[in-house]
Amino acid sequence: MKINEFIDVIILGAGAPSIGKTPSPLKQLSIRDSVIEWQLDCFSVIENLRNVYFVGGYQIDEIRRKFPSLKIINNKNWQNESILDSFLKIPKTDSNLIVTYSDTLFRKEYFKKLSGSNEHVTITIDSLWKSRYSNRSEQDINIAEKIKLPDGNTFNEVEFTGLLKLNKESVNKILSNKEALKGKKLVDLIDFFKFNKISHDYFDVEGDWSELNAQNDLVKFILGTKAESLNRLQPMVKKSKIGKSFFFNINQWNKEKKLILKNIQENFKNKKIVIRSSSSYEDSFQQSSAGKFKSFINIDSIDSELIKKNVDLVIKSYPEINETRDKILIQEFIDNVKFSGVIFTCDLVTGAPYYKLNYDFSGKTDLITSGKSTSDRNLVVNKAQFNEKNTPKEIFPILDAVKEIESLLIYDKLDIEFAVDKNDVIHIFQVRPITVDHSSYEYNLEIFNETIKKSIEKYNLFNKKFRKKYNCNLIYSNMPDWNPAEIIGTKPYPLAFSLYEEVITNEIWALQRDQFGYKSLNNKPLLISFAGQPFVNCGLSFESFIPKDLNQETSKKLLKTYIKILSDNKELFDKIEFEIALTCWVPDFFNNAKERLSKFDFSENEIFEIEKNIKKITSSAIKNFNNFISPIDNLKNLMSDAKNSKANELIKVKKLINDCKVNGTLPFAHAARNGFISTILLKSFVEQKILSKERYDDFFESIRTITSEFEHDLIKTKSSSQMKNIISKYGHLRPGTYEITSDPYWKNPDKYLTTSLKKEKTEKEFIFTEKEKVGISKIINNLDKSINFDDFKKYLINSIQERERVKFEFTKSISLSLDLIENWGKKVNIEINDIKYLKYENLIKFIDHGDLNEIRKVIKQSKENFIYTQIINLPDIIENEGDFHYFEINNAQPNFISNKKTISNSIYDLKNTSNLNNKIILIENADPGYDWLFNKGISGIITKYGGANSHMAIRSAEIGIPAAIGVGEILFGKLKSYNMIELDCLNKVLREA
Amino acid sequence: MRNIGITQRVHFIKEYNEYRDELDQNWSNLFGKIGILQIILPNNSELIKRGAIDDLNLNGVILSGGEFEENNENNVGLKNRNEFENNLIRYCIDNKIPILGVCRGMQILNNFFGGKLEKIDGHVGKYHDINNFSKLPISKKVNSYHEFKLNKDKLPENFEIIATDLNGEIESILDKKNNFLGIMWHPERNNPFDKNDIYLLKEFFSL
Repeated sequence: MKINEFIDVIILGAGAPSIGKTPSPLKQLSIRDSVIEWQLDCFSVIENLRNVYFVGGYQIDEIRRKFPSLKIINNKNWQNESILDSFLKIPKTDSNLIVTYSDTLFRKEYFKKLSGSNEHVTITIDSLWKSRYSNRSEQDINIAEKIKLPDGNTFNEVEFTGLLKLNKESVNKILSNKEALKGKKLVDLIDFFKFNKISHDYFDVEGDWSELNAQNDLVKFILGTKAESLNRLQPMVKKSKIGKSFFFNINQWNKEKKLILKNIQENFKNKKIVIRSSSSYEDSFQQSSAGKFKSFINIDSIDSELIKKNVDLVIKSYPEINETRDKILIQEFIDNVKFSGVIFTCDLVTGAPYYKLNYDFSGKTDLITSGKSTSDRNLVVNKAQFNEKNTPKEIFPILDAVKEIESLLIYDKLDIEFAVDKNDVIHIFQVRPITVDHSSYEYNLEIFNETIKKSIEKYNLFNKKFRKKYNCNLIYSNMPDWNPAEIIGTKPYPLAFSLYEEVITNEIWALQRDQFGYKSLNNKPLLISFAGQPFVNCGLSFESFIPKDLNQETSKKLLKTYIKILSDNKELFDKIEFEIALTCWVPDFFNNAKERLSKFDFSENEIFEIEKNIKKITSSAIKNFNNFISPIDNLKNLMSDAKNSKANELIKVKKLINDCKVNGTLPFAHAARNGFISTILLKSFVEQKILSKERYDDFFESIRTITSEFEHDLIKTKSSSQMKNIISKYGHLRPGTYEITSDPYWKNPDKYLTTSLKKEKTEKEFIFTEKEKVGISKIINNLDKSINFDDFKKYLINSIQERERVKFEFTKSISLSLDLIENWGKKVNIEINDIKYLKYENLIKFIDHGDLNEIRKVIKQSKENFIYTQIINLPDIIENEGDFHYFEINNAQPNFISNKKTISNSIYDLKNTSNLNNKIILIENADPGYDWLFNKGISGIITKYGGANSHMAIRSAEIGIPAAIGVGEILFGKLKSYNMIELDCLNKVLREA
Repeated sequence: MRNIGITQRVHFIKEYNEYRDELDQNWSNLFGKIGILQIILPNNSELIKRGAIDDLNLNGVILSGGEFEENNENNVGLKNRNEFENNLIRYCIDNKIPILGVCRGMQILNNFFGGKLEKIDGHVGKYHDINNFSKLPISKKVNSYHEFKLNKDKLPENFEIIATDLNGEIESILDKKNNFLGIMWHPERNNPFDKNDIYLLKEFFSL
């Protein structure tokens, strides 16, 4: 190159990205680096670099805002023009140019080489393009820009990378032929050079570049192969230790066994080794196959026979063998391990910025990867706010070391195996890229941080008030009381969330507690949203279970105590009404209460006071049961009024929902509380040995509820006219009561309204024995002398039946409302998949303003917000600011239902399965809408969420099938991967069979 | 009819391995002196829970003396007594029955309402002077047989102190609302009986 000749770089980035919405230059390669930052860093090696031009169009202002130093050329007509057209927008120039696409990455060194080329035109091609990365799709190969280069007598097809160097003469030649080149592609320039006899040559990058459209491609480019990355890292890491490692592929093993064994002995003299798999299969499908391959630990490096045997076993565990790509990895064995595990440096599913640690203290380094550990811990750390203050002390050094690896690799979606030895040295065994495609969860880091910040501010605001009054921290949780995790899920769409709030958790919940005799908390909503995720205010929940007439001082003390018990026993978060709050009287109330409260300085008198008040509530519940339930009988007429009125859909919805609150969900709230009291009292009879466990189960099985009627009706249904009746009776049910996208049964009767059961269960009548009667009477007499045995028995049965019936009735209003909203959507041309992003109040406001643009605006904004609802990780219990930064996932104890045992195949994916007969069903939420499952002859149920008193718990108990309710995230995740599960409720065993 | 119930102390008989409820005969002598029949209450809270106690139509209750130890699960007899007396106190609150707590009886009244005890020296087998701040007939000099005193700072709000020893330690408390009286001395152990104690019993129970 001649001195004084400048080079300008032209980045061609006018078009929209091929995946996602973020313009390619702004896509994050890691939290710290975007694509354009990588490119600009590469350009820094170009000598005599003068200007960097960016020819943009799509979201040009965003790019200008973030990179003000770029010289922007705006192609306003980008949507209709080609990439070459964009190039033709540049001004006449007196310097040489390097031209590149905005969505390709090359190495720094390559730019040095390219900028030194003296040819008129230098074209960068890739001869190894077909095998550049594993699993390159046919489609991607088809759309690649190809050039045919002569190779002897034939042609060789190579990929055009879009990277060119042009001297100023050739540039001006191009610019003076604008008309001829209009609408053509960049690759067409090659024909132009040929035609105009501009001399040009080809530089080959030989696979060492990357395009943004395939995650695999990008990852491989940034990281290199595993062997390379570990060895590259070894001398550079300061905060951890990467031991010697030694690779060989299967081909080498087959041919040079002796040499390899000798190498192992020399490399690991007097040391113990680990033999690990390093299959290409494992790398590309690391999500589903991690740990499936064999590895062997603690082997003497001189024991050649054992090494031979084990290497062969590892090779055998590979599903298919690629002799050159599949490798075996030998590493030094660490034997004084304090704890060890695996870290993902992003959320595996969404790619969100979290460190996810799974580790245990067994000292065995292979338990976590094989999924065999039973005492492992799971920690989630928000990476965006990661610092020493926000991280547990023992974990910080590990994450700090991981952070170092991330920045050395300039890539932050890694799967890292580590161990910490007894001298606190951190050992790194494996560093793999996470190659899961996260493009459907594309997020903006600033908004991510802002969303979390706002949640923290919200928490602090409420907590401050609470602390002032009670001098302890306010707790939020997604499982207690009106259990949102179970009913609408932990990440519900806004419509489901707001509808649930409207009909229950805004006012109705408190109204019921007030009417029942507990403290009046009217106008205080029970739920709060953190980043769109519903949480119960445990302070309010506990307060709402304190008797109204209890004196102020004891009430305050009681609330503080409940909060303290929950805070000290987090595993009780889905059992607070059983194990923490005293909400209902039982025969052994005083001693239970004393045991629970005596540590917290309650006097005998206060406990007597509490008992007296709870007794009052319990006996009045039994006596006034019918009064609070009877409004449900108005609902049917009110519903048909609304249905038959001439009003438009949304006005009907408004009326339906308002009627449903007073005559549907309020009676339901009462029925549910009474059902709870009945269950608790029956359980206490078992504890008092008045009723045996078997008789207790028999009692529940003898109660005919709406669900047993459902089963009965389905078995009886033979003709299509009968089917019509079934649809009109049960068609309103939906799996996901509040979720508009969840089909009501009437839309898919073949799936939901048929049964594989042939015979009805024989109905057993339950008669209390004289002895049982005497025992129960004594207890009831102690509660309230004016209640006799027959009334009480009626109450037990009614309250359990009514809970099901009232729920069945009020969900008709909800289901019809959702149908009407869907119909409204059809009229105004908005699909339910968009409507689900609206809040109930948006629909009600629309009745007045009628502005569809407003509705569309809300949907758009809400969709964007929902990304953060999806990707933000929050714990099940929030009790201080730190919980927003890191938390440990709870190993909740499941609620086992029935005394039975089953070993069956399990099914998680209900959509693609027709035969559920004799299967254990795995579902996330124990929502009433899954009742159809019970008609499919299933052998057991396991749910991720749900308390001891949840709908599914009760239903399973009634029908008498074994169930584990609320097994928690970790166990549920493991169970999903098992084919056959043993569910033994009597012995509380749940494991792979 | 004046029905005054009195609770009993617990005695573990090693050779029979059994707990026995028992009452000092001096109490019978004292009641005899006043001229009424005391109703001796067994240490069993079922009596109250099942409502049998209603049949006794009690007009007053004396919580007698004895060993006091809270939350000792191993001493079944004492545990039963604590449970019974606590239930009895509650029963008396609900049914507006006056209680006289004697020594241990005063301590359990105090603890029932959330008060605390602490060790005291020199109050076993000693006569000492006291200050009476009330109009109730209380002797100037009383006996004492206790190792624990009431913690003044933690005295439940419903009680007022009506007598102290010369060091200001609590000797007697009164809950006017519930009509509960506590005294640290033992009226039954004076020989002859102290006239003031007889007046006090008569006045307190309106005998």
